[in-house]
Amino acid sequence: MGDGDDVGRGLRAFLARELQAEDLTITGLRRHIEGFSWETWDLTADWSSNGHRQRRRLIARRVPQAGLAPPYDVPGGWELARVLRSAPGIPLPEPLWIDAAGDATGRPLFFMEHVDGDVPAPWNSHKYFRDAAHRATVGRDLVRILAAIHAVPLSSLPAELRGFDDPSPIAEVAHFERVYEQSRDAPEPVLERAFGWLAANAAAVSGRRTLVHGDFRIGNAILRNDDVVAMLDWELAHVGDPVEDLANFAHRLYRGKLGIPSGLLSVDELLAAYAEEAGWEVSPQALKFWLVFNDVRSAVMFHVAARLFADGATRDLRYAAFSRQQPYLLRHVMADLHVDG
Amino acid sequence: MAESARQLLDGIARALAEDVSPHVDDPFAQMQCKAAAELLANLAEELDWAPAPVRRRNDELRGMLEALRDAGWEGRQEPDQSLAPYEVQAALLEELAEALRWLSTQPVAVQETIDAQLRADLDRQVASLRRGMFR
Repeated sequence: MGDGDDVGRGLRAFLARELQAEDLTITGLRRHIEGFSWETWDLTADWSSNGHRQRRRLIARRVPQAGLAPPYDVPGGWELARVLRSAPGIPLPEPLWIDAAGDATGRPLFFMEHVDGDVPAPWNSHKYFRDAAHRATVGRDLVRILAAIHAVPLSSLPAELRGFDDPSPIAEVAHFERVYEQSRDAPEPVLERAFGWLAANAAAVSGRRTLVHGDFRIGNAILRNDDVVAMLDWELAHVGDPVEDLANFAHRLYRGKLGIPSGLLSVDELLAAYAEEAGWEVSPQALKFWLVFNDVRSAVMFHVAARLFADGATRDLRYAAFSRQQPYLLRHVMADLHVDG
Repeated sequence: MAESARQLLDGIARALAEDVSPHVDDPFAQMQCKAAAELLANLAEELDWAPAPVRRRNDELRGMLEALRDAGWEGRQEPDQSLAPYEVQAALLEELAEALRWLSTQPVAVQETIDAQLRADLDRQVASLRRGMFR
């Protein structure tokens, strides 16, 4: 609990400087324990400004001690968020202040506004949403946001974004193959099979290059009064094939009890909605390619988790448990290798 | 493989003793944490004495390599049997990795035959797991 005290003091001092308010206090400091990526701190700041008391709830996103999706590029992520805030149709929390050097707490971080609402878990979507019409409405909203993300002009994006300078349509596959090679103890047969298949079927991709969210799904959306008010978790954003995002939305891990993409739309409904919003049709072959890739990427991240724990980079026992969860994810790989496409 | 499992158990023991136990308020529960940590650290030292699961896995890997050879893969020599079981396993996995990359260049029917073996192998692994949050 001492770490929380130190972080709290650092965050308070940083905010006091940024807001030029020495009387600033923070309350309700809480670290979110869900997720395996950014370290997320929730707090409320109170301070005086021009004789008036101010109060604002904030979120601090701090580079994790051992996250599953390195590198955590705070200035790059910050710049991307600023670009997207000015793009039409993409809701995301306002980025507020950045500590790129990590002076405040020992690791880089940035503050963003707290957005009220719910983040439905895919395995609870059958309970969270009122009925099929409600699910379809939210699913359609998400597809509209996805099309808007894919319409962001590449020229407006930070050049540091992964894939920005790499014209290969499967640059993201090569990236995660390198991560796999670096994190594995020994070859994993199913992943060797899948990487071989991805290399042999690279012609299936769409050939388009856009901004890709990288983890687009219901579990990264904040909903309020039935509206999607923010998309979160952009650390896997890169430039690549937009079909990758559709495949992540349809990932078997996020299908929930209804067994449909993000517990919201059938695969056919998803593809039809995207064709209408984006103005082009996704081929079944491209979707299959990226479904396999997303399965592989999840399994590779489990390798990374196990490696981080074995190397002593983290003592989070959930990372240790991942080392024995692999077979479940590998079954998804084998299933998607044999879907029609 | 044995080294990896040892690191895992050592890491769990350290986390329980140093990160979890100090934050457990109930004295009995705290002692349970410490006892579990001590037990895991000691079990880690015994891993080399339990090679049976590694040998069983090696037989399964040999079965898959045999199917690949039947499909036309020109494999390597069987690893030296004087090696420790987990060293044999490392050699078998390296060969299987090469063979499975080769598989993607083969006719679909051949791929399907080997994929059926991979699925059966995964089913065996899943059956050996007690629990899983991603089941």
